[in-house]
Amino acid sequence: MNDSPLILVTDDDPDICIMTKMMLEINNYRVLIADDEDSTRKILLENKVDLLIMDMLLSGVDGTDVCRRLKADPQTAAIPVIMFSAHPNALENCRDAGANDFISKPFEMTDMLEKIKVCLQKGSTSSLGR
Amino acid sequence: MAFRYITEPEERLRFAAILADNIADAVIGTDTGENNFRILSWNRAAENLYGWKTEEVIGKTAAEVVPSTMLPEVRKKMMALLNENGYWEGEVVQHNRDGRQIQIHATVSLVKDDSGKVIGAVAVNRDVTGRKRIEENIRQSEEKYRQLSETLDEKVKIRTAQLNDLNSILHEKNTSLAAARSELEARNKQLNEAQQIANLGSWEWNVESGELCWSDNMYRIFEFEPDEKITFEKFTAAVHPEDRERVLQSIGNGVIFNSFEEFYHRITTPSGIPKIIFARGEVIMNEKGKVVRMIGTGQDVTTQKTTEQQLIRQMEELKKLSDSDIQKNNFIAMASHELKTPITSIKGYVQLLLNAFEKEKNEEKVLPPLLVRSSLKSVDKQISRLTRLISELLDLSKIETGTLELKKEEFMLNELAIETVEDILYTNPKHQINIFHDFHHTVFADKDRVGQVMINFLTNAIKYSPNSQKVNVYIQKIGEDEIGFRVEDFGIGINEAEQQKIFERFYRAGGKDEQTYPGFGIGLFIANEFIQKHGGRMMVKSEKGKGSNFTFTLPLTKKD
Repeated sequence: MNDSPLILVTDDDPDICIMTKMMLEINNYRVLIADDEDSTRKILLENKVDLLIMDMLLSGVDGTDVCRRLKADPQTAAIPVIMFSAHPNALENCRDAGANDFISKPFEMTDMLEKIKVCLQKGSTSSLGR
Repeated sequence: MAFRYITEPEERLRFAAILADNIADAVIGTDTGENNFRILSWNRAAENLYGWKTEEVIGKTAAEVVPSTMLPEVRKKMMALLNENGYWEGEVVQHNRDGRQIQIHATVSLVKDDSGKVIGAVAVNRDVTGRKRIEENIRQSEEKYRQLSETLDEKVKIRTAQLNDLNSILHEKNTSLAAARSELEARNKQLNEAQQIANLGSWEWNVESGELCWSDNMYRIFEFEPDEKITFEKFTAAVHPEDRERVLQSIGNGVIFNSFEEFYHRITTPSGIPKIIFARGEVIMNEKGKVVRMIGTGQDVTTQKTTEQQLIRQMEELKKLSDSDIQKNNFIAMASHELKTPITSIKGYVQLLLNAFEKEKNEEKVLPPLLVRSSLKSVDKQISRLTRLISELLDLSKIETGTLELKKEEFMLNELAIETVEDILYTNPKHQINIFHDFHHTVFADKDRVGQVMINFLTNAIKYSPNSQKVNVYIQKIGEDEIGFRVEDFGIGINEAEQQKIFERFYRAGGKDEQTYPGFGIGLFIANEFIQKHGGRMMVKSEKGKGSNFTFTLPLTKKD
């Protein structure tokens, strides 16, 4: 269990955070949750996080901007990011922000798990294409 | 001198002799022609005329003393006339003793005796040389005069011809002048017509004398009488009072800075019609560089300007329409996002539970019962959220179609407030909501709708206070007839420009980060509609970065 990948889920909706956390934990991932930019950054710096799954609208800050800043920071740049959002037209914005992949809400658990697997294998290589 | 044949007494003879000698004309008596006109008498005048003395000529023939210069035919004719008439008169040219030619007027008469027999002839000759000379002089004078008059005539003719030429030149000049004038008039007419078509007038202002000159059409535009002499004062009086200072400034600048900047100004015509004039001009300077005159045009652009303004208005309306289209599209995007968020939770929990049942069959690790319960609770909560969102959309639709109905009942406003705050605290346990109410009052209103507005105020206060957990709620009487419900937060606040718009449909705070908050952007719009339908008011007081105060009022139930 201690060797399994550590995933951080950031969403301003606590229900979605908890649901995703449960979903990933039963699939043997270790999961941490955050609801804003500051806590996200703090967790990323204090833990060896293997993947970040982040919502696009974070009540006060745009998730794509957070993604952009993380990718620009050498301390966090290598961490793969999957953005997820219920917003239409979000894919473009996420790709532009440097996200590695995108999941449209609502999502199928199997799709989510598949994308996580691919992303962890590829590391920081994007599946969105540039 | 004596007549041989005179038989009269001697006295008579002497008298005759004296008489003859005192006659101024030469009197020569001769014998008959048969005797070759031998000279018988020769008076003193004859002596003087011919130079011959009496003694020298008596007895000689007339031809010997005074040779005739007559041509033989003429002499023959003369002789015939003399014999026939006994008389001949004519002018002859003779020579005197010195050979000088003399002009003689001669009168020759035959002398007859009592019986009628010709006994001799008498010639009375008068020297007319002098007279002839005078005559000649006269003739020559006449000739000169004639010549002179001919010259004069010639000159008059030449002068006349010249005058005629001049006249025709003058006529031509006049004709071309007339043509030029009529062309000028035509041009002027054209100019006037062109000015009329362009609704344009021209002007000239003498800066030094202050004299102002206008074209006909300028008068027409300003609706001044054509014979009314324009002055600078009359012009400024016609300019709209609000534009007057600016117009004078522009003209003054023209004089000072040597350049005329075009400008628009309004005028009021005598008939009271407002017009917009576009003024253009040029300055004319003297050799010292001083502006002495200004010339320019004034164009009536009222129609264009009015059209332009209408166009701008229409553009603005179009923009409003397209703005509302953009708002609508944004709303649909936001609405779909808002509806999908609870569905995401529900779907996720349902999948988790399904997955747990699958695994249970295979006797793998299952979800602990506590997690199953919390999942189901979350699903229930998200379904409520979804229901609330759908109700909001339904309310919006009712407002749009004007079919919103209120179910009014009497209730205590502060009791409803307390219930609502408790509900909010249940889902937002971290927040601290203080209620301040000093009295109990009933209102007659739709309890559900009023509760909805309270929820809207409270959730907004929490949503837009990411760094503050404190919210205050006040229930206060306002004036005599109203009760107010106010929610105070210490969140991000709203700037003044945004405050005007937040009650508009689909409106969401402008900033990018502000738009990351969940919600349809119709909450306040719906709330405002509800409150207005109750006869209440909605107000906002806010400061960017410090927090907001949202208040709604409801009329108090009248106590009998």
